Amino acid sequence: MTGRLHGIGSAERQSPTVQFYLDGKIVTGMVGEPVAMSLWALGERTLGWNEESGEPRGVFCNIGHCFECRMTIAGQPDQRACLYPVREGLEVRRQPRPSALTIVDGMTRL
Amino acid sequence: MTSSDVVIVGAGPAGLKAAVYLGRAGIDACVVDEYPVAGGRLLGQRYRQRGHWWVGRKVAQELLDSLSACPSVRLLLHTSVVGLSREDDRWQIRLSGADGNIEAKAVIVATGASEVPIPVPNWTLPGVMTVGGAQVMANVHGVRPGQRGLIIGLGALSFAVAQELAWANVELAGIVLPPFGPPFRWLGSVDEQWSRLVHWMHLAPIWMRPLQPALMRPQWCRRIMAAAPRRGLAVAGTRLRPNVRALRIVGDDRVQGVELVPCQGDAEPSGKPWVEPVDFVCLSGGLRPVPDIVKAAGAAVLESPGGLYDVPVSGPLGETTAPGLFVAGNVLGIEGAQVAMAQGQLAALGTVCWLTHSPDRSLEQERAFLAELEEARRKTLILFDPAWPEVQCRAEQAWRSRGESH
Ligand SMILES: Cc1cc2nc3c(=O)[nH]c(=O)nc-3n(C[C@H](O)[C@H](O)[C@H](O)COP(=O)(O)OP(=O)(O)OC[C@H]3O[C@@H](n4cnc5c(N)ncnc54)[C@H](O)[C@@H]3O)c2cc1C
Ligand code: FES
Repeated sequence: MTGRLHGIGSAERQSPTVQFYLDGKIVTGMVGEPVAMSLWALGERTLGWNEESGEPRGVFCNIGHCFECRMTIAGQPDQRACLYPVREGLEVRRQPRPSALTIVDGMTRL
Repeated sequence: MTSSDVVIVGAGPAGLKAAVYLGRAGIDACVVDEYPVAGGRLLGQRYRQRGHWWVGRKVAQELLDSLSACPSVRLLLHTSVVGLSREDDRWQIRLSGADGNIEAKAVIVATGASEVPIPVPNWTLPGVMTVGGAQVMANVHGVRPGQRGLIIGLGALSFAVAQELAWANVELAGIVLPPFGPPFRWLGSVDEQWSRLVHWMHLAPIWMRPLQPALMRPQWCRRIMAAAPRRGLAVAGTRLRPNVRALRIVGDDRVQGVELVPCQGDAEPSGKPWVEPVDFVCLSGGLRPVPDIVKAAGAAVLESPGGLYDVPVSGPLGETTAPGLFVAGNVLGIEGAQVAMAQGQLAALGTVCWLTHSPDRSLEQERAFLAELEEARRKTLILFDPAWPEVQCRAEQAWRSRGESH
């Protein structure tokens, strides 16, 4: 797990690991950490795709404010992966990429 | 539906401190937080001061230990409050998902702050995050944001987080300015961005500190920043590059670099752009309070142009204009965690007075808590924005003048 930091604070963080599913594949995380953090540590960057443009989206605010990390977790759509704690056997899925793509210029919408 | 005498929204330093006070008074209270761990933004903070470490996670743990000795308080995590309304003299707190409602006599809102993102072309690419998001990733979860990053924007958190990432051995290519022109007008001119640096001088290397009086003066600040080499000045474990701007983020399905350009102040670029190879980017545009549910509950909020300084109209004990609704912490303005704790204590005192209908509330206690708030402000480890004291003063004036008209 190269995505984990060693050094400051890591001693306090020797939590046991859990196995859960990402799109049906078994992956490993640390007990109690948010799904998005387990995935980030595994090198996963795309957690989903924008529903209009189909562009990839990842962790942005990491504290539940932006809703960019929406995934289907435990069968429930649009869960914020940065808030959802992993647990043994949890089913996590990326939501499907839309087939008809609309180009969205995020800058001109501001 | 369940009920509690008091519901506290937010288990950050303000909410937890309020909960400890209520718990010690034996009051039945429920603390709701949407994060899976209690502690709020305290969890990611660490400072080194005169050889001592101040570790937010430990402070949060102490608050939780005190709380575990209070059987009248329960903690509901990974649960969002999505609505707040008053019906038949009671507050209805609507929770996310299948969690239903909680009914309460009084509510303390301690929902903290959110980051103001700086839009940069391609900022939606995976690997672009807010600077606080990177702080939570590295300090709270021990997860590496990436192999090499760049911070865009000279916010207060830029320097704190740069230093923390350096301590965690995460490489940074520096701190650079955001792109030119709108929609960045609220950041002010480059001069204004540079002059704000004065407030974070305590993070500067020792050799720069004698320059502080000079940096206070705009013309000197401008000269010193303009003279900085393109590779920047060594600050907070990284390099502050006040003469380099980000133009856009590059990458296909994740960040691969940032296009940077040399510049002198607000003038057009003074050299050729280049792509700095990085795999994560931190956007740092500052913090703003989150008073949304206070507003939704019908309490008066002092509005500001652009909404960045919106705060509830509130009294010294965190009273709002809605009956039995109190506020504490960063919803009242952006300050450090110790200030949030002092405010949490005051709001808890206000809540107890309100629940017991005691008009001659404990003035002695109130004075002691107000003194603690002042002390926390004096000892603050980080100053966010010098505009806050004035905004808070106006919010309190608005609260007082409302009292007079009744
Ligand atoms: C990303 C970030 C990084 C920061 N880093 C620093 C730093 O390094 N140093 C520093 O001094 N200050 C920092 N701050 C400022 C910080 O806000 C204060 O230091 C302090 O933590 C404020 O305490 P609080 O209790 O008011 O709010 P917070 O600590 O923010 O706690 C608020 C809590 O409320 C919860 N919440 C919010 N809305 C809801 C809802 N609707 N339902 C349920 N729960 C909810 C949140 O999950 C959170 O746990 C940071 C702020 C942010 C946003
Ligand atoms: S990353 Fe912003 S809500 Fe999850």
